[in-house]
Amino acid sequence: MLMRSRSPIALVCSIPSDSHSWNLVYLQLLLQEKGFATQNLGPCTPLEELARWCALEPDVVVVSSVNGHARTEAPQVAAAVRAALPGQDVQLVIGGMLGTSPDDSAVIEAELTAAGFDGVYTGAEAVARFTATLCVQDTAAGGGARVA
Amino acid sequence: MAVLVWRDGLQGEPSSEFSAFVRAQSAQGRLVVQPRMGLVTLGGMRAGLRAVKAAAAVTVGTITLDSFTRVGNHGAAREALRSGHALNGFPIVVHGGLATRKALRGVDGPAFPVQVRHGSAAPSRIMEELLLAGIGATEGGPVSYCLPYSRMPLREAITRWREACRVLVSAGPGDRGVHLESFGGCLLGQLCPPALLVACSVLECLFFRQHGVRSVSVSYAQQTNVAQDVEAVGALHALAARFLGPADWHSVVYTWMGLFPSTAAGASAVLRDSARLAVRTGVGRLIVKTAAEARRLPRVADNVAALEDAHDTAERHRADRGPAGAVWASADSETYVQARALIEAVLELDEDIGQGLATAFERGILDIPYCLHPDNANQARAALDGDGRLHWASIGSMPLPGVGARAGDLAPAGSTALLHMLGHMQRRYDQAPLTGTV
Repeated sequence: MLMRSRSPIALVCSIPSDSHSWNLVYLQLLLQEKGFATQNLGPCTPLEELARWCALEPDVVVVSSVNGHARTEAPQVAAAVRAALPGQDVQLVIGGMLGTSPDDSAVIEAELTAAGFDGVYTGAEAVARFTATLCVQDTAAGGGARVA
Repeated sequence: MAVLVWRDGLQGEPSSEFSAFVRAQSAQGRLVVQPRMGLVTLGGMRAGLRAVKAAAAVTVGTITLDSFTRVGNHGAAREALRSGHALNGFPIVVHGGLATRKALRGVDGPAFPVQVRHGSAAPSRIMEELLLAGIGATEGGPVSYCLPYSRMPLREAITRWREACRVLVSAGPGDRGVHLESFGGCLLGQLCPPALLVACSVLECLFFRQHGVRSVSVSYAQQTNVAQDVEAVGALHALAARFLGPADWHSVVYTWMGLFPSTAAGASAVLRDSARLAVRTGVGRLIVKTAAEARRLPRVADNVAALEDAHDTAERHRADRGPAGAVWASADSETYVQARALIEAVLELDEDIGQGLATAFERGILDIPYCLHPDNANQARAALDGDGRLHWASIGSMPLPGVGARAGDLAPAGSTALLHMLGHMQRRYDQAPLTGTV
């Protein structure tokens, strides 16, 4: 079990049916470099396990999925995080290939925003747009990174 | 430099319909090409298979299952089917084997065998349904469908795959016989040096054999350097002949499984290079990727176009074809030496291959680079050199002769370097989509 440190905390996970992991390996490295203590929950993340790790009180929960099933499953992920951290200021974001066709991305973004995600990132600039929301402060001053 | 001399790869008599078809085509110098294709409905799947059968190529059919079925969440698959939400494959358990059999009527047969591709770490239920559907060929493995893709503990996956082999063997679909392909040549799809891919695939086939499956195939996924790939397939054949011979085996190459070129020209060039690799090395079967890969799930027409492109390429280069299951006469390639060391290290651990595999991963004797599964040591790292050749940046605790001293010279990749390596093939083929020289 990780102990809460001065660094902000990020959880990286996927939806229960998605077995891809390079996206998760990459996001873990990226968040670590941005100053987050990062716990990578791995592919096919079960909702119960995600809820359990929410006990770390993460500053950001990053859900990444590329199998096209997020449209169906991600609302349950949002519900699990919101239920585990009621009323808390956690930034919950999702990105990747979230439906089976890129034509649906606007509809899916609206659906997942309504389901409780603070940010929905798809398309070529997804990572750059997400990274821009990570406001890095001087870690030496004890601020660490935080989500803008 | 090793000198190449081809000889027969010591393949025993075919003992399944699937293998008999592939081996007969190989004997005539033809490459069998196969899609990854899963349609959601019975009618859609039937139409997709008919289109593959009618393609101007030597094909076998594929039924790829959806992700919900893969993880055993049949309720979610049923719900998606009911509500019209898209599934990314064919939910064989929800449809049922008997309904699937009806949908296949007049489509599958000795001249067009069909394989189920599923991705499951616990596939017994899937095996029961595919046998009911009259299908005798499937794929996967206790390592290759557990560590890279599943949350299941490795020891449990090994137990489940023992059961699955028993299901296949005890209830084979009549005289069609059963065939099982190891997916061990893929692992995470990229950034794994070939020796580990080769070792895992041969070891999984040994596991299948130990549990009564007599007809198997070893696999290798196209990597990032053509010369290294040719060497790796040679090593795969030599080691399959050594450890599986004289059983019924053949080999299958997967077109590049990593980040795919986004241009049509780049995607086609990767596909053609994989077809040339398969032809040159005497591989029996090629599983293609499509030009749509980087953007969306491929449609039937995308698959047919890719199958015909691969077939045309194979026919154009027919004169280069190595004999079926060709092996390198010289057994001193880097991949051969490393893969053989890994296989022998596992076989020495236990007479039971499954036990040996579990212990090997526990001790880091096998260690898949970047694999996040808790039962993988995740100490090994790989890196690409300027020519796109894969090297070990760290070997963890793997007993790899000759690389211990060199490993560790390379700094662990940060996110930017990792992304750069993951994007190597996409960049290379999108920028200069000329096929390499095999």
